[in-house]
Amino acid sequence: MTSKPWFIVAFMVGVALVFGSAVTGIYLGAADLLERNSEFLRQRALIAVFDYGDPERLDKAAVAALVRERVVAGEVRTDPQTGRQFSLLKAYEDAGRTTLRAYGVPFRGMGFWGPVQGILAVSPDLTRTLGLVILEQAETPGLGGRIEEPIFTEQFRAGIAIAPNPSGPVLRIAAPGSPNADGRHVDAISGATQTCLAMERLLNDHLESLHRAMAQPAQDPPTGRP
Amino acid sequence: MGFLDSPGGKALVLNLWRENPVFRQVIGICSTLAVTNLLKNTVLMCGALTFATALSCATISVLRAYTPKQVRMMVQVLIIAAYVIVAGFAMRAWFPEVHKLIGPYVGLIITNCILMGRCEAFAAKNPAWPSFLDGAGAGLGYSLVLIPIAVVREVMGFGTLFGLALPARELWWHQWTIMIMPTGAFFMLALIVWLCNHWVRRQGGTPA
Amino acid sequence: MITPAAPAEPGLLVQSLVILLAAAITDNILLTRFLGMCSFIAISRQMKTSIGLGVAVAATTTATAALNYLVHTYIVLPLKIEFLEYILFIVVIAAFVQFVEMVIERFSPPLYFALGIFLPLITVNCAILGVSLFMIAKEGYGFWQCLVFGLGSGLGWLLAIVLMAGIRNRLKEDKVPENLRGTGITLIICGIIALGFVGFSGMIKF
Repeated sequence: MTSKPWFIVAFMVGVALVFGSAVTGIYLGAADLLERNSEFLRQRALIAVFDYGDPERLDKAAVAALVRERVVAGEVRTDPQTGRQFSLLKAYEDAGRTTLRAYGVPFRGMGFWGPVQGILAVSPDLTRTLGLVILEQAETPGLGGRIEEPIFTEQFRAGIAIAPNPSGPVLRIAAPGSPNADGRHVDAISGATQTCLAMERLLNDHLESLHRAMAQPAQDPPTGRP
Repeated sequence: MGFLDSPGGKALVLNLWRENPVFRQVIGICSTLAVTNLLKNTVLMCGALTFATALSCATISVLRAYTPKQVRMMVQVLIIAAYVIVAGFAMRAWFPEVHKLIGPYVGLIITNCILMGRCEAFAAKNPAWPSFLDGAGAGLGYSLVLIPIAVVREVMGFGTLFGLALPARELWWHQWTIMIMPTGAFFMLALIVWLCNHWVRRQGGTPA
Repeated sequence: MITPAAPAEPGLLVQSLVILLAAAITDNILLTRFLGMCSFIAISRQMKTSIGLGVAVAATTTATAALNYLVHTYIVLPLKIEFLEYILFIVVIAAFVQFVEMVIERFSPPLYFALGIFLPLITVNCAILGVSLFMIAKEGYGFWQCLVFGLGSGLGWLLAIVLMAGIRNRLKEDKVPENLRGTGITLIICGIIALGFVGFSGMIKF
């Protein structure tokens, strides 16, 4: 069937409008539910990374209350060398917010397939990790995707040494059983070499930057500018 | 006239075996390689693909008399993309944890050749209901191949099925890392193509 | 602690070369990410058609990478319609392919008949949508980097299909089990090549 040019254009525009607005409508209708889902997932991730309890056993209200009580969007620090800004979270031991339990360091960068985003919990003196949670990743399911599973994240909860290291990278993600005299070793996931290399690069990059940034004074949130 | 003799019923059954999209026509295999190392992901992926194929075939068939041939492909991809995105939303709203795992692959369904292939080969020439069944059949035919591959890969690669550990696996199971890697999917698919060709030749047909 | 001086920004030319090589070889879109398998398996039977399709894919990835970068930067981001990104990208790709088809048909009928079947195949080549999606996920890529990335990925696809066509050509005379010929043996070869490409991982960092 051959048609007149105006009909072709009009048809294309019509189809695009109908389907575009249908998808937009469904998106807007579902946006609220999606937003609540992602907020809940984020709060649960915070419970897991700061080790406040088993997030599977707590109900939605308890999760929200714990996060509201003990986690504060804390300081903003800037790495003088690269200009990267960290919006650090501060997690306290108790509801009174007297003792600092950990800093939450948000990180984001390229994995093997797509962006990886997460939070690394580090001790207040910045010498070891206390937890890791991956908020978003697009690695191969069952392979690189396992960076968000306990097999990988539990190692960070157990504690990896992350003090500044003048003689090499801050931490190493390498084959299980590699030498680990300095406590900086993390077991890699077998079959996911690419993702592990990307994670190693990403975490080291952020940690080096963090050490430089923490040597600077804190700025007031939000993003204080002189 | 029974269901299986109707044009739609015939198309559905043909897609399941004799003209199976994966091992007879060898299309739509990109995602075969990526998602088949865990059974749960595979099942959800197959569901999303069947949903998108059936509905986009039906829609394209309804519009077929009005679609100018110059923009046929654009209209088709537009409709396919809209359904795939909706399938993605549904997954994100009801199964947020699963969406986190296989979300990116759901988006790639848009370029799965099965959808475009069925739209071109069947939906562009037939009425809506048979096209819907044809699309559903193609999705099910795809699942028919993917699910066995996923069962073998998950058992050999992880020693689990649907994420549950197999009984007494310390006694007999040894990890085959190659099955987790994409290479395992290539080998499994080649094996399936081999067996099917053998069967088809025996029946006096021409192999793929 | 003394902080080392920031490394000098590499020149644009060097950076482009690194992106090009990484996209074409170490991060080969077909052999490390398995996108564009369908037409790869169907077409790699013959060397001549393989080269034709490969060149067409390379030209399309380059052009659509550039177009989709513009769509992403000037339409999607300002309007905050990320959820429509897939639709916009795929429509841009389909429109581009259809436009090229019409132009070729008008001005060079012989070329049109030679390329005939490839053009619809290109639209549904997942490698092309894949390139656009990876490109916007990379941080710090501008227009030029995206263009180079698209070109590199396309050339990588061309390289892979020519390699496979060569191997299949050699295999024609060999004693492959009857029922494994064609698709079956091609899949096995792909699996083995893919294993080899695992070894390239991490060779070029960028």
